[in-house]
Amino acid sequence: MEKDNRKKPDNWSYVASKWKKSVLSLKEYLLTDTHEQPASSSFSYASLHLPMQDYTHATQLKEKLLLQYQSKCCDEVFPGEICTNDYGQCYHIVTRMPFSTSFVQQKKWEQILEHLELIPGIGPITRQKLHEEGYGSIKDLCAHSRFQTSAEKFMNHFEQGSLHDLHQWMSQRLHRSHPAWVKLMTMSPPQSWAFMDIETLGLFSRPIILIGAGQVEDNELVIHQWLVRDIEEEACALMEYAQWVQDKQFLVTFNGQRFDIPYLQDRWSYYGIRSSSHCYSLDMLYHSRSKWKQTLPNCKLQTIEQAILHKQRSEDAPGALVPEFYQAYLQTGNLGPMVPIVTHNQVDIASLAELSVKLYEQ
Amino acid sequence: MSNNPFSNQEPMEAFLHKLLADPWHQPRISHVEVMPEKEAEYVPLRRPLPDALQTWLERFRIRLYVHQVEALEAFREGKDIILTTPTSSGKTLSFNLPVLEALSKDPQGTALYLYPAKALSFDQLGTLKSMEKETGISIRPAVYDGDTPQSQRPGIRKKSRIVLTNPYELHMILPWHSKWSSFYAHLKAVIVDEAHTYRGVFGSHMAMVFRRFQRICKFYGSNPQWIMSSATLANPGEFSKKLIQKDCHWISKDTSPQRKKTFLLYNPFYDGIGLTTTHDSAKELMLGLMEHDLQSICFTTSRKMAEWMGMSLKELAERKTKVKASQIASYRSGYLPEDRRLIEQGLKEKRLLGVVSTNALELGIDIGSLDCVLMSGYPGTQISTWQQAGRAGRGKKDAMVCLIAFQNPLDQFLMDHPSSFFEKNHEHAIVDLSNPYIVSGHLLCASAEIPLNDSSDKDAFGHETWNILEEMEKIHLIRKTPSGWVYMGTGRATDAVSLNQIGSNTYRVLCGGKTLEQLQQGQAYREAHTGAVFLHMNQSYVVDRMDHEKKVIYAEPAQVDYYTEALKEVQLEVMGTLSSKICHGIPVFFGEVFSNESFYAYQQKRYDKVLSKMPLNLPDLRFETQAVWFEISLKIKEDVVKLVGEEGFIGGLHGIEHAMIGIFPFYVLCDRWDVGGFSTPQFYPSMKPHIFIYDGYQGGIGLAEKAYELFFDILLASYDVIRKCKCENESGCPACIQSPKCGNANQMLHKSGALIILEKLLCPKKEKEREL
Repeated sequence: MEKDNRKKPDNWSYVASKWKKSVLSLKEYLLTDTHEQPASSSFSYASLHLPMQDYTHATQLKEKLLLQYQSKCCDEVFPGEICTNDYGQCYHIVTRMPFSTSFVQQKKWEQILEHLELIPGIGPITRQKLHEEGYGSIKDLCAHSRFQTSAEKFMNHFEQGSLHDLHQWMSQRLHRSHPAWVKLMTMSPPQSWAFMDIETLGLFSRPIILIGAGQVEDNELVIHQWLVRDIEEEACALMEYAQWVQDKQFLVTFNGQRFDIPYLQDRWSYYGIRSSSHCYSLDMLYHSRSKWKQTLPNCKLQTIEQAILHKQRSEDAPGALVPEFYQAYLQTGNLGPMVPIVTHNQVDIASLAELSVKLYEQ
Repeated sequence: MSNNPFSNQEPMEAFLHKLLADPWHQPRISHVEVMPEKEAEYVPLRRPLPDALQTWLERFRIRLYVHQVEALEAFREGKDIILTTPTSSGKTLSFNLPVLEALSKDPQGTALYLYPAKALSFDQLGTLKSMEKETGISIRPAVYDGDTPQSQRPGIRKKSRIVLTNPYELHMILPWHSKWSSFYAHLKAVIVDEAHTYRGVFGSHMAMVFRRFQRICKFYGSNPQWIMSSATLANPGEFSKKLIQKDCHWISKDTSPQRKKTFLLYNPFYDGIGLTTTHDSAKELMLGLMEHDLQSICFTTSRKMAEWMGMSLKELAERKTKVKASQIASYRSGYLPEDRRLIEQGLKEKRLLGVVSTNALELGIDIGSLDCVLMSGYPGTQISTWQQAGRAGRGKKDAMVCLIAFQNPLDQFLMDHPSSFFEKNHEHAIVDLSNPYIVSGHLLCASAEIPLNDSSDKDAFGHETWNILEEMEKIHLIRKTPSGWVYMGTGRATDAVSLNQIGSNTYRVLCGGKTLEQLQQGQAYREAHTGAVFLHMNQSYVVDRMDHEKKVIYAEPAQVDYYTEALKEVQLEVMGTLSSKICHGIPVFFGEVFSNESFYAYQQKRYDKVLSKMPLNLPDLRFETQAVWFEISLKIKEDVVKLVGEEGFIGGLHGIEHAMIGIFPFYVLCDRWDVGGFSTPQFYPSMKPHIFIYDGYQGGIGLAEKAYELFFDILLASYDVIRKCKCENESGCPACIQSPKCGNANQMLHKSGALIILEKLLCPKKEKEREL
């Protein structure tokens, strides 16, 4: 009775293409005409504003790189090696750059003791009074009738170098942007600090494509990067980083408190990877903000880089376009578009380390 | 909770007595069904509750009904439960007791409560908070939804042992499960209240959301028990199995006490003429009830009508009765929560004597028990009708329910066949587990939550799972990895999948700097265009202008005695044909279309009379969807035009389109408002006459696709409806070819045109051999 000329075979490719279209229409950035960032969103990852000019520039860069790196293999583009664990493999890149740790020798961490407000009951007014009475450090307070007990307890933790107790103490007394936090960091040796930054396919619940982590060794900053050459390598990279960070004491990030750290935790849990890291987190965004909020137009890492560290980046890919660059790589197999991402990540980690020194010294 | 035998039955009895004897009303009352009084049935618990709860029951002198005890005992035995006892039968306690017992035994235990609407979660939050206070069981209940401030969220995730949320929020928070790990790990119970709302397209989405949720529970090692509560259904077992993949213990017998309830069917059109309208009859009955001091609620089928009837009742009451305007209110979605709360309180405290409401008051918000429920027009489903009817008859007085019919075919059928309503089975709640669009979307979401891999995922999402995933991998949305299938799209999967297709494109209605309410774009175009009379809380406003950039509508209060209706024109464009067939000689197609709606004018009307027509200048609403359509040969066109003229032919096409949309829901299991139609005497490029019916969902959701399969049945049923309708006018009636949602205000309709076209199409002998 009925003739059915089905052009649509029970057609999953048709349904899939509809999803593709709908997913592509979801942009996590907004193209704008100017470089002006709306004041409210300068620290918010929820709405990234991307100037049209930068977008055009980046698209040209992507095309240029696709030509430049045509038919080059991974080894040629990024000298490194394949690493393997239970979750498979990924690509490991190591970069070394000179980094002076002489600042640590200055024992600035003793300055923590100058922060009398660490002792319960001492606010700005009392501190001022105590200063006038000649109490310059917590050590001095051990002789103060009212604050003696607390001061002795604190000195005890301090002299034993008990990071755990000090951290707990400070968490209760100090705001997360308090300068004493940076000083606490130098109570543990530079080898135990980790500077971390990740590159992802989106703002949340998408794969991580690159994990970058820096470590100080002698007079060098050693940057490890675990590159996810294909999504199936993500779990391996996550595992590699989890093992690397295991013995570190301090995890230094820029906006990591809100982005990188929860993102990593989410991906670990996505793959059922148990991470036993117990790092104390230091987010330099908070410290930068409290230091330079008045003088800089915004507190993005790249603004600080230019104004404070006097560094200039070349051929950078805007963070918002990382997913598109990665997709271009996946679809062509050409690593060209990955070059600015890997470099960008290296520079971020180097800047983060330099910024930490800067904040420590000031 | 107690049964007072000394109740005063007089006012209701007096009212009914008068009504049934009244020569005007008598012929209009087509059926009287009396539901007798019923005593409560109690039974003791097999094992006592924990002390805190036992003391609580005793302190408030609560005796548990049989069905409440059954729920508790079944839960204790580890069963999942579906409760289908009526509104106000003590359902809340039926699930709160087992949950609190479980949570008091396991101090880390948690529970999730899911409500289809925000207002319901807040209602329940209040109940749980006072139970916590009175029993001393620490549960820290909290609502977690789109309005929960960021600053409170981490605390709720870590500390609250009962979290109340809604489907949309649940869908959005599933990918954040690592932040909820402790909540999931200790999850003891999931409460799904008003589960019958999860049917049709929405239900199919929810079935997938629940599967994603269960996968996450399993990931964290928990296997919570489910308690679903629902309106009476024909298929609770099948429904719950489909929705949550569990064999639920079904509790249906209501053992709570009930007063005598008289259910009237009232037909203003019994004579085929209709001297008054449905709404006028409802107003008249409502006034009479209020005059007898009987608290009543009248349900209407539209927002606009809830406002109009409220306004007009206030005016009538002040003019003709001792009832004051302040004792009457309207209620609908769109009101601010605090305004809604005031009306709910007003009903409970009997300060309000009459409320006109949309189905917004149909769900379980606590408003106490009323004396009478009126329904101005059949609410569309038996589920809704019984839910609405349940608003009366739980107090100490006898109650009345009255369904007043519209002129449309369905309402008229009910009036003529009361047994189909009172004796027959209730509706089936349909959940489609194989709608390809819905399943594939949720597979994307699931793959972003935990890699999809083991066989249980296949069991959950159906046998097509791997085929879908393979297609998705080809286009780089998903990647197969040793850990499973991993989502890798550049956009968030949960953002791509919308449970209800309501866009984020909303307009704010402002009056003197104050926000009256928010409207969806389509709603704003229809109800609040420049010049529109906009009604809010029984106040009329005239829209001054719309700002499309800022998405703001500026309205001014105005006393007007007319209302407005926007007229729209729909244009359709075929983007691609996906399937085609010759069905009984008729070329039928399924494919992708663009629909373009332009609101070109609006009418000012008073009592259905058009006062004037003004042009409108609104941007077009464009959207892409799927449609089923068919061609009518030029030969038929020629023949029909000879018989009824060009206008008769065009009106005939239009009429068939309406009739098909009217009958569509019965075949495709959706709502009339889920689909749209379009007909034209010449469609480019073939220039043949065409009729289209399309999904009202962006991108299409499989309704037209299903109608394509059932095309002939639908066409035949439409023919039956028109042929059997007794109306004599060529413009038809709501029972056949008029549509309540016609963008052209039911202009250009031609009943005999429609009949002749259908007869030529369906008469196989002549047309059979003639193919494309």
